[in-house]
Amino acid sequence: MEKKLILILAAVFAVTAASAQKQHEINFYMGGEPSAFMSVENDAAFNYGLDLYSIYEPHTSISTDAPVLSLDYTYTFKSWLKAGLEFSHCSIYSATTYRLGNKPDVHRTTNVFALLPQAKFSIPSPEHFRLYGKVAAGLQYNAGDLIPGNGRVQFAYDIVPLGVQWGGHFIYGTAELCVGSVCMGGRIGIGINF
Amino acid sequence: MKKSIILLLSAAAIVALSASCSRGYDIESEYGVGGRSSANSGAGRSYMMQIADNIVTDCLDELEHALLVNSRGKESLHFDTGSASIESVGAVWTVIAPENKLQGLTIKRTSVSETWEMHFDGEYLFDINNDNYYDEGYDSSYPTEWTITAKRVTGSSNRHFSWNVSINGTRTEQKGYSCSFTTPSYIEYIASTASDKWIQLYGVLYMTTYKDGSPIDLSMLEFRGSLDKAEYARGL
Repeated sequence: MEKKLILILAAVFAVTAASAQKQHEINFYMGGEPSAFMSVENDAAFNYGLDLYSIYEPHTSISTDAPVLSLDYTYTFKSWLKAGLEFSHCSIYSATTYRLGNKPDVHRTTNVFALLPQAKFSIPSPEHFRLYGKVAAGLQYNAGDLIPGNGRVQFAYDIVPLGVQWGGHFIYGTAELCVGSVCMGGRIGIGINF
Repeated sequence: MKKSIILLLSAAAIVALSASCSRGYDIESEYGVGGRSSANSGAGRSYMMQIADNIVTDCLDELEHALLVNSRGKESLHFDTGSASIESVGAVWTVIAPENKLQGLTIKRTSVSETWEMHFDGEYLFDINNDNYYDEGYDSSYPTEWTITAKRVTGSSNRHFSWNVSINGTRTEQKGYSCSFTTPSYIEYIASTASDKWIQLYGVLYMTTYKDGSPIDLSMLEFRGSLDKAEYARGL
């Protein structure tokens, strides 16, 4: 099921990119905290206490060591308006350990995939220091039960109140603030314009 | 040129997606970890040590406090003495000091020579000062009930007495967990002449752990002198 979904998303992305004929932009971002992780209740502190429950029950800690990875494509409709698709992925990990006995640790991973159509608004700014904002809304698929909604496709969004691109017109760097159901915090990236 | 770049990037995206997918999800991979036994047993050992090194010593503190008060007259704000000497057979003193950890503890002089029985039934806080603890919000106070029989041993130090102690008790915690603890015989608490109160312990303490009323573990702490020489075993 998820493989089909991923292939469909990739095909949509490829077709969208291929049909563009004017100005195109492709960006790769990394950073931010997966929003799904922030909603997870982590009882690590409690489980190391000195009571029977904490001693005999397994202790599960949830973490995310990798940032949110995003790849987006936009097409320029107007000098101030671009639209396209953003694909994001992040992973959330859990380690379950047992304080007593010789039970081995259990490690699990949940992957989150999101495909978000997006609109990008340019803000008047210097040529080599271009400011923008973004609104993206679409679908998210959670593959794993470390977060709510395992196996379900659900609504997702990301809002970038402020981003900046600096550098040349072909290749440039980006940095942006992101708030949403996929990514929270700041992220940086690299992009090309052609 | 543009089409080539687009195709290249699309291919890269598909490869990246496939790579993500091939990592799988919800896979329970197990890793054998060696050398964890000491860390694991530390929690159970620390728990049982609370019984021997906190419950018992707190009670012995109260008992020696009572004997001290008794030797200097019967008036006390700390105990309800019932106007009886704690050395008299059948005398019962009760800890009444407000904010005392063992408020309500009764100390009864039994008919056996040099022997007192102490009973407590209430919330008791296990000390959280252990290596595994790092959250200040943690609270391990649970309903705990026990009866301790303490026989004073001759040849005590100047500061404290040595005692032969037996204990039977239970502790009821959350999530269906509870435990009972007992000494098959007694544990010797040897008084110290230094600042430590009881520096040597000899004897065995057993603890049965229950989950929803059914026993799930039997553990043992055997004292062979100083506390760091106590041997812990579980899964008996």
